[in-house]
Amino acid sequence: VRRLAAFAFLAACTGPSPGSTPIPRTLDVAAYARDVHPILEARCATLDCHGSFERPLRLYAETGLRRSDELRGDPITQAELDDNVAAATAVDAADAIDDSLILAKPGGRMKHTGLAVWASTADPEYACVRGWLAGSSGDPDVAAACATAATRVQLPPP
Amino acid sequence: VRAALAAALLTACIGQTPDDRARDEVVSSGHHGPTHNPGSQCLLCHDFALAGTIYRRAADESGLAGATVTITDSTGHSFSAVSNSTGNFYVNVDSGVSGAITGREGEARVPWAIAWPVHVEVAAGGATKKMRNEIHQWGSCARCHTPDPGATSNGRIYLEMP
Repeated sequence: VRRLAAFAFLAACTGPSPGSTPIPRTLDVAAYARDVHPILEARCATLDCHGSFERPLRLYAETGLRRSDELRGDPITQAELDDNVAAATAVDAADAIDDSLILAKPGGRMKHTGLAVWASTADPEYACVRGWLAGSSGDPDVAAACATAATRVQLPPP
Repeated sequence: VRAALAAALLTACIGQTPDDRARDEVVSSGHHGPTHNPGSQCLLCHDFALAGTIYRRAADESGLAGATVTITDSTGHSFSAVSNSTGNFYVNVDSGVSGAITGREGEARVPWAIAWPVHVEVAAGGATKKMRNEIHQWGSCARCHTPDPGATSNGRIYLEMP
């Protein structure tokens, strides 16, 4: 009993590590569409990766998986964007943003079939996705990172 | 008898994977060689690094010959294959060659393992088409580029020329 009490006390006192930020329960869909989706479409959402109904992080994209056959060739729809945000929210139970699978796997800190997509946390694409997860897409630093990222992930026209 | 029963039970339980079924359909078409089974998933049976079929129009039944397929991997290695008479092209990794070789009958040989993701561009008759996104891991083009476009397929790789 003493050990259990000591453990419970320790756990209560320890809490989240300093500097960690929990992922907000509601993510900004408009910021996702504007800043994050182009990054995920280019880096993650191809049909041979996360553009698959079987993947826990299932991502729809104009060049990848579509919600229905009829959508092939059309621009991404709002329903697909909403589903992507929901998938990004559902895939993770991390207390801290930097521990989230969406950052830890492509950031090279966890095993990932697609290997390390971003070499460091300073990568503008990483910073943009992280800023969105933190609910701080409007911050100047995050906006600057997203602007840089956008120039790198722009896809050729159809 | 018990062993035979166990083997039969095991076979029945295991069944076929989707890849097994796709492979059986491909093999059933018969002939062999670089021009066989255009439009199929080449890597179901072959140990290529990358392979596919180019068409002139999305609904064509026969492939486009003479299209140059240029592949650039994530380390910047770039090499080309030229589609053969049925539109097929394929890439072999061969440590015996000193550099990338554009061979005959649709083959390209490269001395290095391809570093994914790769970008692909197709050119023929003055027209060029760049694949909009990257390929991350599937070497069979036909795994995503099936005849019928839909939720999980971008349709055939085709290049409409002037």
